[in-house]
Amino acid sequence: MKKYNHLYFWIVVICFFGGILLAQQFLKQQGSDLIPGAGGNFTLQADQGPVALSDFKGKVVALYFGYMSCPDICPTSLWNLSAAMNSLTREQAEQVQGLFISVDPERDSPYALNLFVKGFFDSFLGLTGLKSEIDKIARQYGVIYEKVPLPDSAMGYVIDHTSVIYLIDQQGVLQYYLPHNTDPESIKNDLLKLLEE
Amino acid sequence: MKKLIACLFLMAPMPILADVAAVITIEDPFARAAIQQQRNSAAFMKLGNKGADAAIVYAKSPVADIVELHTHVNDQGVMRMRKIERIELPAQQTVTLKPGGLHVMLLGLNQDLKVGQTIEVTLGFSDSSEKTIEVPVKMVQRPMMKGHGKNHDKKQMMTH
Repeated sequence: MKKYNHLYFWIVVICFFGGILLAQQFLKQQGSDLIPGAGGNFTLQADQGPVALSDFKGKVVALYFGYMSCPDICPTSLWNLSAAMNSLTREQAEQVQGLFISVDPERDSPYALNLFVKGFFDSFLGLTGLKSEIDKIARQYGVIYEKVPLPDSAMGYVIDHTSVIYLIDQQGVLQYYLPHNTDPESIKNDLLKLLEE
Repeated sequence: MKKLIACLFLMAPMPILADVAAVITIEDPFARAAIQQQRNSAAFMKLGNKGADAAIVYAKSPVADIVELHTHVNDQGVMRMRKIERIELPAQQTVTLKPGGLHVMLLGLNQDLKVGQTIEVTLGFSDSSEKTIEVPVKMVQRPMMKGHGKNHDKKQMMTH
């Protein structure tokens, strides 16, 4: 009987530490690496009507999650992407669709989003929808976002969010994960790799 | 003669007061261009402190309804922006406000901020002295650079 007690003890210990290791692995992936099988189709609202990722089959899609009240992180990412787009030839740029998904559906209307993204690059589209829809897409792509009240700030609340540009190939498959502040030259090179495939 | 003496008396306490504003140097200030529905922006700069420990405790600007002091934390790729009460300026050190980090947050812009334009920003210090600076509006993006591969960026993110 004593022997068995020992065995149970070690099983519990191994499961416990194994669990911690697995959880750490999972959290690490969410933070900095592409989750295997991430991506997939979605439909949201643009100012012009519903837009699905599958509408852009045959084009490369650059996808970013952010919000309009974001003063620094989102504009930096969009300007970097815009600089990369401007460094392509016109024919190449026409084969790339930039999509901005708002993680602040309360404040960002499709109308305002449209004007906002067009300020960065003419063909960009701004998308929003119900929070439940955005939640689902965020999970698909491994994006973490969270509304955080800032009662002492005039902002009222901010949205903490993953700042990543996702590059999706012509078949709708997620191929590249570009961490925050990837320089325009690298974005351009990855876009070209997908365009040449 | 009486006037001169009066003047001397008035001037005498000045060196003792040594405003924080007088010992803070500001280099390379810039504000992020904001157009088309962008109602918020941010200003950045390098602050040198040639005096004792001090801090920025508030800021204001005629182009924004409200100006706050903010910082960013990059938490494993998740950007968390927070309001802070003060930006510490330790004695004899340089503090850099830059994209992705500490910034003067301009909330509720009452005009577009266009490249080439200059805006006024006033910084309020811990001793209630103030400094008003002219801040050029710039497009903030990383320059196109050769030889900066994706791997370089990945590394950079992790060391943040």
